Amino acid sequence: MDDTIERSQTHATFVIERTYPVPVEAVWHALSDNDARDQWFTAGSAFEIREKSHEFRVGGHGIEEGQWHGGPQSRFYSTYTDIVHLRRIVFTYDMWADGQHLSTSLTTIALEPDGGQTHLTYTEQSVHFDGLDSVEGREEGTGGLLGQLGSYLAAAGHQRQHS
Amino acid sequence: MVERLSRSPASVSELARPFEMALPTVVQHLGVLEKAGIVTSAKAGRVRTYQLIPGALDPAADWIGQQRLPAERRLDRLGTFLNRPGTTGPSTTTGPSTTTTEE
Repeated sequence: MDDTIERSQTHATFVIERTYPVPVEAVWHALSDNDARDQWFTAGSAFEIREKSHEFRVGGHGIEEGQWHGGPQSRFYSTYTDIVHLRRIVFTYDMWADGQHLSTSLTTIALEPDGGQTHLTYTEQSVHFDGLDSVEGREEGTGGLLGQLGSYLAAAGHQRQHS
Repeated sequence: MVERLSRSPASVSELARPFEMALPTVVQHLGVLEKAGIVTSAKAGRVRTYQLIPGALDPAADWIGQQRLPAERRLDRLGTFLNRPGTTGPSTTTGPSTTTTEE
């Protein structure tokens, strides 16, 4: 590894809530079925895929590696750790850009039927390494502090932003 | 402390009150926030008052926003997918096939 990299760890937590106007079975299908997932999970054509797989079972992996057009090579590697049919999906995932480890995240997707609609709560807890995706932190040397503030703001702010 | 300062400027002892910390420790924490450009202080007589620098927290908000963005976009794409006519999902009696399919 490069000895010139200044090592740091920045933690973040955020919650996103969405209500989809379809039954929970439809949301579950979109999250778990490979063909359905292919139609929304990946960003558009600006990403050239080199490796891709998805195995929806506890212990199964989701892998997506490719090149952003004119950008870095990106690798996503996830592992499902908990699946409760129609209720909950938990997975961890790691991100790399051009071979540098950016982050490790723990994601919980909780589904709640609400009449014919579905309420989805997406909670992500993560650690971000070496200021690689925190330009402000790198430039000002306050990445750790700002990260803590960010976690606080996210925790306090999500109720405000998405209720 | 930052939450307290977001309401109004405050003295060191006011800021220390909710925490079980010695004043020098509180001053040390405030020193870190001041060095990071998040708060500024002014001394009137023997009382030092701290206040938030307007906009100082925006970089943190921007940063957390950047972490949220990919997930938000993805969930919006999921919403678009779910809203398309004819994609209301499979029959609910048997449930979707969620068994392993390696590509």
